[in-house]
Amino acid sequence: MGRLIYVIRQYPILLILAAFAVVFALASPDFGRPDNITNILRQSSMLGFVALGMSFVILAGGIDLSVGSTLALATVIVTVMSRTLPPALGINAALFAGVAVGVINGVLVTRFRFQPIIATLVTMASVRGIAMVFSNSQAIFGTLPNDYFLLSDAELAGLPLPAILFGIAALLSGFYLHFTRHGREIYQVGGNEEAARLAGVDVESIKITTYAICGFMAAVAGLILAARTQSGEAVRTGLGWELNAIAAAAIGGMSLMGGVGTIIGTVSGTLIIGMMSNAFNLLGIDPNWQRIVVGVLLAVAVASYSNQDLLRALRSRANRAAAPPGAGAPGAPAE
Amino acid sequence: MAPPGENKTMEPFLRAEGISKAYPGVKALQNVDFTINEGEITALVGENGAGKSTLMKIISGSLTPDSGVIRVRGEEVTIQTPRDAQALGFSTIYQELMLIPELSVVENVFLGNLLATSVGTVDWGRMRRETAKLLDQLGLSIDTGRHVRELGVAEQQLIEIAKALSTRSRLLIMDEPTASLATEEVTKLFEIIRELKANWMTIVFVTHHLNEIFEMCDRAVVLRDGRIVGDERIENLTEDSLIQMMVGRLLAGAHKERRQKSTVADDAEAVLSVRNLTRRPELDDISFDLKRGEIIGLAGLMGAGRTELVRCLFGADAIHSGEIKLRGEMIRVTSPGKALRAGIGLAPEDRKTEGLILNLPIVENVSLPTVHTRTSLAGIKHRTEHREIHSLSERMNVKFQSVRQHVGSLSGGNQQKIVLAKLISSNVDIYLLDEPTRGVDVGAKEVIYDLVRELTLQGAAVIVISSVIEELVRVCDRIICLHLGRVTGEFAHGDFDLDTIMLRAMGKKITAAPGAPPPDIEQQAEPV
Repeated sequence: MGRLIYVIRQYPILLILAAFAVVFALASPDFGRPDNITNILRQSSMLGFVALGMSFVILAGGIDLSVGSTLALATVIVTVMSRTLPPALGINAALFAGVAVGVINGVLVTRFRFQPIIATLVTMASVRGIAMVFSNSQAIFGTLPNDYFLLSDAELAGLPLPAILFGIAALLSGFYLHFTRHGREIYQVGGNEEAARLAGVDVESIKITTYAICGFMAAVAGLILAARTQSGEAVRTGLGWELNAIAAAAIGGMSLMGGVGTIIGTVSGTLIIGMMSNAFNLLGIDPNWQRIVVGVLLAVAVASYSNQDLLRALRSRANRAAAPPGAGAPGAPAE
Repeated sequence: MAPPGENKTMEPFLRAEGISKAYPGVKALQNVDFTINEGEITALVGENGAGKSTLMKIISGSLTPDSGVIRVRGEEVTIQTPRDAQALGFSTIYQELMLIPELSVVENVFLGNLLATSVGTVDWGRMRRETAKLLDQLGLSIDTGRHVRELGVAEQQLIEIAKALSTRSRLLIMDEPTASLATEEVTKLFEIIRELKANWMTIVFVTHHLNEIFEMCDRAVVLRDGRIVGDERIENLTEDSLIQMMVGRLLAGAHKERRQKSTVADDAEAVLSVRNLTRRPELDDISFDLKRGEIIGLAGLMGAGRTELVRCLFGADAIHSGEIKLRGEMIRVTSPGKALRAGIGLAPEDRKTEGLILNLPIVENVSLPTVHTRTSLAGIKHRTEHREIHSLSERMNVKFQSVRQHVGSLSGGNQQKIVLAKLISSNVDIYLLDEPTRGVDVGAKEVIYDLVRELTLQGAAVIVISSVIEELVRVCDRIICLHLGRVTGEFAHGDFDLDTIMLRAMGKKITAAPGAPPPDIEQQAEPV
């Protein structure tokens, strides 16, 4: 019990997640049924992968708008290549393409000193363009073998495979960020880039790595989506996912300034968004309202996090003002 | 740790030879030879802009010199990155502490050197234990899991020291470590530094507080204008001789150019009266009158409150109490816009970030504050704008190819002239100039000061801040010394005396008559 209180103190977002679950369960009798839960998990895991990748980038102080396009590119690559080649090749090519997009983002940001939002806006546009060229802007059906669909449909011990994969990815990410030197350096770079640089951290390679991880995760999400829709499509796939992924991270308490946030937060944020869209479907609420509610939720979350900062700042300021004006006096008496 | 005493007669711990570093337009360091002896505390002193920080950054690997070599115990080393310096056992504590506020004390102490377990993961347990040990050693009792942002400045500084100890550093460079500490915190810091020294740590102490040098250091190295001008054991120094080295007498000839007498009429009207102006904690009870045609110089150290004072007068910062009268009328300047309309203009200290918009053309920079006066229904009257700027630039001898040229492409001196042109074209008659000659070459300095004098002859009044007191002595009618936000001295034109002004600016009181042999210096009481 004490342990539970400690965990909730540390991660208040879990409480909010639980509160949402309870409210939705009360609002709709279907919400809590096992097959619906499975459905939520399956649905959320794709956004979850994208949000995980986004978390790495945000923690290091960046942002990645290109994930939706990368996701679309992955669906196209795997479906196009499966026309003639075994799907394993297509899967690897798609993952490789995701990493490549990430590395390009990272290089634009570090070597060419693009602002992250511009660098990834560039790739957001051009990667989707590439996907459209590959697919001729047509949806591609019927190229994937039936086995491939297991990526979305298989269940192990009652849990959908995508959710299991997402769970493993989240655990690995959390471990990596907390227990490896490189993971900590991501926080350090996001927290104070100059301090990290002066402490000998290779800031550039850290940043490039986070974008590469983000591109990889987006490609994984694309592969699952291709299995789920049994197709690849370049024009509309993944539109707006970057915003949902950023929202998931921010709702989970990640600061867009970098250096603050946890994987538990991002996973919770993802599940909140996933549960909400599921519940709204069940309740027959106009999907357009979902967008509005996500927007409001984001505003509430960010306001509550940043007001913590504000309160803290005011408090420390009051302390400083209360200190005697001699504070800051450089000279101690000589004798 | 090296055995004490053995290296005294051998190679110094560190020897930098022929270090030069130039920035566009400025030679920050010129052929500097600098040695640090093992187990000593070396003071690196000099005025603002003397090159202290540049030298320090070169040794700590965050800047690479244009030329020169560094030897450690006689062996040549290359320091290209902060990591190289770290590997040599150098740690630097910058004035702006390099900590990560949102991370824990443990992680900050081991920043860049996280300990690993046998399988390569981060060993939080061991780091926590070692951090607790280090903090204990430094007499700091805080939870190692706390976020650094929750700590006070003094505690944060100790975290930086713990960081240096955790890497078993042998050289600790501290840049103005006392700048933001209260008196008791300074005392505590000094105790710790003494203890480090007793444990054979070599320390470089960058400061411009004389009492700290005499209290703590074994040797003082003085930099001026990017050159070493003095290197003495502390026993052979007096405060006077040290100040002399810092300020330099090379400019003695410049005194001839000094105005013979003040051109301000005794009964000139006070255009700006400041009474009991207070902004805590930076400014405390400041009062003075600025007369028509007068140039007042503000002398003081960094953090004395000079910049804060002019920013308050310009409405850029709020004042907490006190009043400002403009030509006898009470005014409240609550924004720079109001100040400009009242005829008060500021040329800020950092012209690149506050005074100019570097990537806009000259013409738009100059007309920025006044663009509304040149606008008609048909838009901005560009022709008038250009004409005015050409006449201004001719007067000020600004060199540029076109008024469409970006300000960022001009030299420092010319940029400063553009800042002034901006003020002149806004028709202000009270000029607040914050370090108008920093990073400006000698010729441009003259033009700037000539222009300032010319303005006052036309009836403007000027407050100028400079860290170079000779400059103030040359151009001002009156000099006011600030120390820790208070006025510690006011000198009329006839009473200008470099040493006295310098001492007052450093917060010392002089009881003997000016000019009397060795002035009796006593520490001024700290404000409480």
